Amino acid sequence: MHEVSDWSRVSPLSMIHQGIAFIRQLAGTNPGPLLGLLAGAYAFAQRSPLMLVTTAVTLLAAGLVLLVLAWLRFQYRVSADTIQVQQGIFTRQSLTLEFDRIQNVRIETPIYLRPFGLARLSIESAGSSSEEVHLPGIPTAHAETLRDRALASHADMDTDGDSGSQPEAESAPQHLLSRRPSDLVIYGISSPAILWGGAILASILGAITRRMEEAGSDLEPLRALAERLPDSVSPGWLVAAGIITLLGIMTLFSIVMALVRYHGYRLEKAGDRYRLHSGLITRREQGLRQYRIQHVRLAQSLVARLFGRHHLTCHQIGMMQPDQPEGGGNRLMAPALTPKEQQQLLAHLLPGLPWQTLSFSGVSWRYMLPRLAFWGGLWLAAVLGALHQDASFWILATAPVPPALIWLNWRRQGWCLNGEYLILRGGLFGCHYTVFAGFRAQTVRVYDSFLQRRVGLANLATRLGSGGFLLPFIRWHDAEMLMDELLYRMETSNAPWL
Amino acid sequence: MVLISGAGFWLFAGVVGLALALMGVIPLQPALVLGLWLVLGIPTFLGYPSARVKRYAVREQDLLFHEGLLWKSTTVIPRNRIQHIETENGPVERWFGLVTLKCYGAGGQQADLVIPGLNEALGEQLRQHLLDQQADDQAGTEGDNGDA
Repeated sequence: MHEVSDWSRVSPLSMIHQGIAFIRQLAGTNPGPLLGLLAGAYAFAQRSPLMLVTTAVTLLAAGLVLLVLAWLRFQYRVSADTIQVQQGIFTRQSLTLEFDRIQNVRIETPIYLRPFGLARLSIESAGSSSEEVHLPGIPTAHAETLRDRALASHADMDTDGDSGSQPEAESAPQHLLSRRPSDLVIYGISSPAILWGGAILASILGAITRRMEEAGSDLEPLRALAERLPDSVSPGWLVAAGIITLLGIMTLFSIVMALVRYHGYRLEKAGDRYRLHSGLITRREQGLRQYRIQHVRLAQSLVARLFGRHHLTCHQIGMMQPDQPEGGGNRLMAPALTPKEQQQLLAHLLPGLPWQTLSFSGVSWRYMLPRLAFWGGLWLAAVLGALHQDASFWILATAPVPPALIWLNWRRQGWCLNGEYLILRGGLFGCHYTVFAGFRAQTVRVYDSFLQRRVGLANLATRLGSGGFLLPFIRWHDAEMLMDELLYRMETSNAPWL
Repeated sequence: MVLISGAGFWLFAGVVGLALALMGVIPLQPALVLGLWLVLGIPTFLGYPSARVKRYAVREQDLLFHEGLLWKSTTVIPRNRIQHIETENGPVERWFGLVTLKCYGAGGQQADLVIPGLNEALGEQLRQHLLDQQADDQAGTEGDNGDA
């Protein structure tokens, strides 16, 4: 009954978004070269300012022209059961997405679009990331109706399958979880995003020091500073203070990121659909259907362990992305859960799994052997080097550290098969669990080396739509049993597994 | 196949290297060159025995592939999890009339199961067989859905 509507454009304000997105991509992926470029431009400016200004103006103008052209060429059209997008300046691309195939709809309202009542709508199809539609800068109300329409037509065909418990998809939303700033601070301190901040910092520092070396200024200012300090302050303390300062900056960065990203966190469940609102600068709305969840990961780092918290992520199909402060688009995050909240959430996510009473089987102690051999070799080489060059022998004192870590890591390895769920455990100081239902698997591989075979051990690797998991050094019979179990689940289940 | 393409290169490289070393063009001991050649060539020399133990099985519900001399592995992909199938043959494979069959699951970049060195006719037949089964499966599940 809907007749095909005409092609329409997004708001011209979307150009702001595209420009910002471009700059962010440039700066975000690798700030090192960008800083180098800026420094180079600065050096160049001192020699011929006019040239630089004309170059900059030309680049800006070219960028603006490209943005305007891209906006003019970007058109979309919505029909009864498809959405079509045409884009591209030089080569025109046309993409048609059927509403049935839509996997995920996301609405984001960045701060610079909010005053104009505009939002960015992202529609992902079940296939690859190249089949994604982004509509930057359409009215928020329009985005919401589009979302509802896309998901409504989707709901019709999904009433079959395994879920089937909630007949009505759009019942009253049930509030599941919200986060206070204190929770987010804990998440900021303990999340892996802290490493990400470190990576950015390292690349910036690398670029700066490289520039400094090239400029020939060497470490003169640092040396001057060191000379002015009183004698009681040894260089060792200075280094320690530097490291602590760096850690402090990283932690602060991570906390700020967590607060910005998950401000106003609200997780709801309506029918079999989870909906998550969060974000300070860019307000996001993520949705995920229960049956789309491929695996659930419950992670706890050392710091999170001190606070007694777990971070939970629900992954759906798509390649595993490295941990980013932004958080990948295709997973749902529940940061810094207390044990009680964790239990409540797990009861929804993994119905019928008695989380408290699971008993895990460990892996063989031989798991440690190759790791010990590797570290032993490294340590031996270091000792030989020290003997040879008459270097300080404190390197000998570090010998027990890697074996202790390896032992801790081995203690954490484990697995548990409960009903249709397979739970893998790992970690070092903290502990992380990966849970998935057997029928979600796509490939199973059992492999062993000749040494493992002699003692009856094997490794089991499975791949899901959301990533691959390895269970190392388990008994060959267990590997065989798990493989058979997974294959049985995969081959007898009619439920949609993606 | 692996043996032939690999050995072709390594025999050639070894002879040339040895000749150059003997003539004194490259400043290395001929014995050293020979040793290096042997070490680097190990994977190639193992090509034949390792090809001998590569095997596959087509079962009612899944496809298996087994390989490995020292590191043995068995990979299984159920037919209803195969998203698409690809057959591939490079120039050397084409010369010998062979194909490589690749099965892809969802959400990955790499093939989940690769069977190299199949006869062209057999590869095509296998591909067709797996595809047919897939179509059957889909029709089957859709029929079920309709009923439910």
